[in-house]
Amino acid sequence: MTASFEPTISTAGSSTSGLITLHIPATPAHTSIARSAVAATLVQVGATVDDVEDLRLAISEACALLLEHAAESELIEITLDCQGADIYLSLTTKTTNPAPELTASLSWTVLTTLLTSVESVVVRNDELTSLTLALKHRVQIPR
Amino acid sequence: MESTYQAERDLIAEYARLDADDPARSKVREALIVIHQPLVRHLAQRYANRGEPLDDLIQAGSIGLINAVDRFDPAQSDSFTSFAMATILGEIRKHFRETAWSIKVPRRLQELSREVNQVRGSLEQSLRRSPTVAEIAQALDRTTEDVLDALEAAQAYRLSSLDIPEQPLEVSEQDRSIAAVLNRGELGPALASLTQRDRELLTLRFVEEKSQAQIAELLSMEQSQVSRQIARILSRMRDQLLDNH
Repeated sequence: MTASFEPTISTAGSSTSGLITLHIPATPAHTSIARSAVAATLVQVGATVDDVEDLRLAISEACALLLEHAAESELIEITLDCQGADIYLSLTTKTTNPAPELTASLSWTVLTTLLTSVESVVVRNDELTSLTLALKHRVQIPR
Repeated sequence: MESTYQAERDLIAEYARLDADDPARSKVREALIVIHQPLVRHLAQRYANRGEPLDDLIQAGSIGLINAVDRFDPAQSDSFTSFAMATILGEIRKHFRETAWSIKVPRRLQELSREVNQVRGSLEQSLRRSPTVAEIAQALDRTTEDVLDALEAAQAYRLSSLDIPEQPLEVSEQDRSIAAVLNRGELGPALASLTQRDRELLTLRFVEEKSQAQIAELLSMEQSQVSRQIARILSRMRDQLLDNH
């Protein structure tokens, strides 16, 4: 896996619910792709513009947080699952840091301020540690 | 460092002493401008990654420096460097205000962004809630992609221009308390650039540890507005920290 890896998107489900998976190189330049994909999906489910902006900001912060730790040439895998008004976002990358500290960062504070729930999952493997941010947000979907 | 500082003080004193029509004055003026060029370059570099060429920022900052030399009054202020920093940053900020839109964002997006903001405001009033992207698109007879592009463009503009401080900032006790609670001593200057309203929000949330619901009640806001506003303030400060590194 290298930084020249092309972003990929796969989708499944109907227009109001479904799962999107996106792989982007772990570089600041690619986070705009993640923001755009999430925004476009929220438009599909009929979310308000406030919620679109909130989640776009959340994606920026979550990516910034993972980029601080991501190993060189790694990817960030992003899954977006829309279950009606409940939006589940998961972002995962790999790091050489066996015990990455996430909660002391400003980005973490932004995420916990903005979203319904934020969790981090750290799974140690032999060489690289897998680092996941699991985000949940309830959006308003006007009838 | 000491001798540079002394040389600066001597030049400033001499500049103030010389009459306006004294030929020696223009030489001193030139020397003052030359020795402060590194300060211009340093300040310009802090804003170099925002889509504006570094040379243009240095040029704008240099105009600020020249204005500072011409306007500095030792009787009014102790430190020329502080005075010059304010003037240099002022010119860099003005440069962003005047050109950032046209360079970073195509004109059609600037116009669309303004229209989106207007329609968003009027729909918020009539619907009594945030409109959907589709509702804005329909009102403007545009596609939802156009509306998303306009929202993203507006965000880029806000990030590129609004967080440049107007003047050198003093870090207050209140700012220090917030920075300490957030475990971020280096946030001091970023906090000092906030509006009093934003600072009050952060104090209530992080120093006084009130819940978002309590703050909403205290300030007569919706809870969602409280969380949104706090998140945006923190996110903007994070951007400023990155710029300063």
